[in-house]
Amino acid sequence: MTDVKSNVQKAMSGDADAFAQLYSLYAADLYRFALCYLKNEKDAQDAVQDAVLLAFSKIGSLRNEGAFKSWLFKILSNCCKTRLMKNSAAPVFVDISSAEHLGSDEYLPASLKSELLEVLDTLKDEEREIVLLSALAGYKSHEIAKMLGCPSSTVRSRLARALKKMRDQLNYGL
Amino acid sequence: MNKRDKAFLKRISEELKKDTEKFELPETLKPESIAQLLKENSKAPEINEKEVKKGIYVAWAPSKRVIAAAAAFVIIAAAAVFYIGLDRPPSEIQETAAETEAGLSGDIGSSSFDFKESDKIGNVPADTNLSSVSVTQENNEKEVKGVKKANSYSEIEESIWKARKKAQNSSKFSLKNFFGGLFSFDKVGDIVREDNWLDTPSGSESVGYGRTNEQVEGVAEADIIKNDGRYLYIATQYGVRIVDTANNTLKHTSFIRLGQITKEAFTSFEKSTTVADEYFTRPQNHRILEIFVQGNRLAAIFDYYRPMRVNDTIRQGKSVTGVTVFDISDRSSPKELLHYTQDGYYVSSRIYNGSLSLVTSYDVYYIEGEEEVTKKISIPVIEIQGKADRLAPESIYIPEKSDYQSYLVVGLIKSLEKNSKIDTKAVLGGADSIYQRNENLYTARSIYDGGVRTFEFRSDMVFTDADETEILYFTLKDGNIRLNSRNTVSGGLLNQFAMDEKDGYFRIATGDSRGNNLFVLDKNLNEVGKVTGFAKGERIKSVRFMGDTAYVVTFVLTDPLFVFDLHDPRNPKIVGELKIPGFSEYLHPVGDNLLIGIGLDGTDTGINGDAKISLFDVSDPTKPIEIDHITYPSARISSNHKAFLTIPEKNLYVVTVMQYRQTSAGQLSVLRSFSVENRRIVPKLTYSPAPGIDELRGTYIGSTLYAIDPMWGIWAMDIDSAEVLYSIDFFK
Repeated sequence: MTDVKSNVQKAMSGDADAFAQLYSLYAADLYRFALCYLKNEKDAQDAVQDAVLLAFSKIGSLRNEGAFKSWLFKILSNCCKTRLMKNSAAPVFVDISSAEHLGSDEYLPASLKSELLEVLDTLKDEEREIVLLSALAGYKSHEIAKMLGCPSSTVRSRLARALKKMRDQLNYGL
Repeated sequence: MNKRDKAFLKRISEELKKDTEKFELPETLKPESIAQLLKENSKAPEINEKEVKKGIYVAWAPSKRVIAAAAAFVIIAAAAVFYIGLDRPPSEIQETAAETEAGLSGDIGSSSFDFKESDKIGNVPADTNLSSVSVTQENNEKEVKGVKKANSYSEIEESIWKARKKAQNSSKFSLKNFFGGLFSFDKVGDIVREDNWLDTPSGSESVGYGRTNEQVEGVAEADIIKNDGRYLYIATQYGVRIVDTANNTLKHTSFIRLGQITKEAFTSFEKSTTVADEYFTRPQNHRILEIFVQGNRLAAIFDYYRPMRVNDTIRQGKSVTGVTVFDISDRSSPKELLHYTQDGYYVSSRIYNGSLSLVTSYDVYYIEGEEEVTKKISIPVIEIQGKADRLAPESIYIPEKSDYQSYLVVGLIKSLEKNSKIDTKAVLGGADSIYQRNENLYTARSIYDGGVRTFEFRSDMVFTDADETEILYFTLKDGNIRLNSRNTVSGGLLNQFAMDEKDGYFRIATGDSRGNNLFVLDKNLNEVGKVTGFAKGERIKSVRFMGDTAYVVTFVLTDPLFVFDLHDPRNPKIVGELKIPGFSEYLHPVGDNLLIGIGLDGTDTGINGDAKISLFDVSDPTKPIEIDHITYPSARISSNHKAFLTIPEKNLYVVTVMQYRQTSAGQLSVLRSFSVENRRIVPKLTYSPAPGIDELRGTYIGSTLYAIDPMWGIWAMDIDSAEVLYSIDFFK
C-alpha cells in the first residue's frame, strides 16, 4: 500500500519518482478520463502529460495532501478543456469553403467512437465534466462542488439535467 | 440522487469503461515514462506556443459557442498561466525589475497634434479651432521614463520580431507576452457595465430613474443597459433595442443592427485595404459589447474577428474593436454619425466631458516561417469612416528592453459627433483593466514573469496571481492622448476598484502569494509610500477607496476587512482589521460611516454557498465592525458593480441574485431589494417576474422597476409591491 501522504510530501520537495508513484495509482483512470473527454489517443496522451507536468511543477502549493487525487483530476480536466478548445478553435471563424484547412479531423487518429460518447458530446461542457467526474472518477457531488467552486446543489442539478438529456437519447431501459 | 439516476450513472460508468478498455495505457504514460518525463522537464514544462495562442484567441472570437464557454475559459486560462511560473530564471526577473529603475531618455511625449500630419489617420484634427494649448503641450514634451517613441515602422517590427525570436529560443513559450494583455480582470463572465448622463434626460426631470453605479463620479462607463428617464436601451451582441416607457406601456421603438447600418462603411473598408491589412479577410460577425447613451447620442462598442489568409490558408487572425456613434434625436430612426475601429480586443471604455476613450489590447499573431508577413501585421491598424491605415510610427511607444509581442491601444474620440477629432496611441504591452478620473487615464496590466505562486483552481481565486502590474498613465486633453509615465509595482491586480487617484496620487492595491500590497505613486508613477506583504497567503477579493481611506477585503477561510489610512501619501498604514466568515466581492459606501459588502457567506472553514450582504460600521477606522448582515440561502449575488442599483427616492438598493434551485429551470435569477435603516439591513422585496431567466438586470423610472433580461424582454414591476404591471416580450 503506497503511502499517499508521504509521497506527496516527497514530490513536493521535487522527487519525480515519488510523484510517478502517486501517478501510478490513478494512471488508468486519468487516461480513461482523457480518452472519454477528447475521444482520441493522441490528444488524451498529450492531455495527461500536460496535466502531469503541470501538477508536478505546482505541487509545492498543494495545501492539503489528502486532496491530491481530486487536484490531479481537476488539472487534467482543465488540460482536456484546453485541448478541446484548441481543436475546435479554428473552424469557428472560417467560412465553409476554406474550412478543410483547419478541420480538427486531421488531429484524430485512432479515435474513440461509441453511441454513448456521441451522446456525451451533446451535453454542455460543464455537464459533461460532471458526468465524467461522477462516472469515471467516482466523485460525489460535494467533492465535485469543491473542485468547481460552486454549491453542491448546483452540481446535483446539473448532473440530474445531464442524465435526463442522456436518458432521452440512450436506450438503456433505465 | 434518485435510484433511477444512480442506476443510470452506474450503467454509463460501465459502458465508458467498456469503450475505453481496448485502449491500454500507452508507453508514454506508464509511470516509469512519466518519472522520466518529469526529470527531463524538472525546470519547466514545454508548451507549444501556437497551441496556447489558439486556445486563447478563441475566447474572443465572435462566436456564440465560444462565448458560452467563457466561464470554463477562466479556469483554462488560469491553468495555462502557471506554465510560465518557471519560464525565466530569477536573475532575469531581477533584470526586469531593474529595467524600470534604469530609465531611458528618448523623444517622448504627445504626437497627437501636428499640423503637418493632419491628414494622417490616427491623428485627425477635424476641429478647426485647435487651440494653441495643443501646440504648447507639444513643446512641453517630456521624457517618459523607460519608454521611447518609435522612429519608424521597421524599428517596431524589429522589436516585435526580436521578442518573438527570444520567446522561441527559450524553447518555452513566454506566456506573459500574451497573457499580459489577454484578460480583463473584471470578471470574464460578467457582461454588464455602467454610465452617467451629462445631458438632459429625455424623460421628465422630476422623476427619478436608474443610473448605473459608477466608480468615479462624472466618468461614464459603458453598460448593456441604459436608461435616460424615458427610454430604455438594451444591448445584446446582436443589436441595440430602444424601448419607450411612456404612458405606462413598454413600446418597441427601434432596433439597431450594427452590420446593416454600417454596411457601406465595411464595403469601403474592404476596398481600402492597406499594407498591414492585405493578409486579413473581411470582418466577420459584429458583436455589440456595450453601449453609452449621452443625450441624443448613442455609442455602441463592438468587436469583430478577422481571420488571416496567407498562401490560401486561413489562419488565426485578429480581433478588432470599434465604436459606432448614432444620432438618436429620433429614437425610432437612429442615424449613424461616426464609425471608428482599432485593432485589439476590448479592455474597457469611458466617457468624460463628452470624450470617449477606448482601450484595447492587440496581440500580434505569428506565422510560422513567414517573417515578412509577421512583420507587416506588427503595426496596429485603425479605421475611421471606412478609411483604414496603419498607426503612424510616432504614435507608437516602445518600452525600454521591450520583449512584448502585443500592444495597448488607446483611442480618444473627442466628441460624439460626425467628423470628431480622433487620436490613437499604442504602446507595446497591453492592458487588463483601466481606471479613469477625469482626464487622467491609468491602464494596468499583469505581468507573469516567474516566481512561485500558489496554485488554486478556483476560478475566482486565480486572478491576482501575477508577479507585477505594469501601469501606464495618460492624460486625455482636448482630444489628444499623452503618455506621461510608466512603472511597475509588484503583485497582480484584481479589478478597476483596486485603483484610485486623489490629489495627484495614484493608489493601487495588488497581491500575490507573497502577500498583498498597497502602493501610493506620484504623477511620475514613482513610489512615494507603501504597505507590503499584508495578509500573506490570502487573496484580495474586493477593494474600495473612499477619499483618504482604503478598504481591502482578503480571503482564505474567513474574510478580513483591512482599513488603510492614506492621509499621508508617504506613510500609508493599516489602521483597522476585522475578520468575518465569507467574503465581500463588492463594497459600496453609504455615507461616510457605513459600508455595504456584497458577497458570499461562510463558516470558519470556508464559504457555504449562501449569498451575504454585510453592513460595516467604519466610523472608527481602527475598529471596523460588522453591525448587521443578511443571507440568501443557496444563492449568489452578482458581484458586477453595474448590477448594483440604487433608488435614492425610496432609500432602496436592488441587487441581482442568482438562486440555485434544484428544478429543471436550473438557476433562477431574481432582483432583491433591501434598505439600510437605523444601522440595520432590512430585506424588502423579491422581484421574480418569470422563471428560468439567465441574469436579470434592474433599473427604474419613477415608481416602476424594470426587470430586464436583455435577450428576452422587460417586465415593468411596481417597486413597492413587486407586482408585474406589464411587460414586453422581444420575441413577439
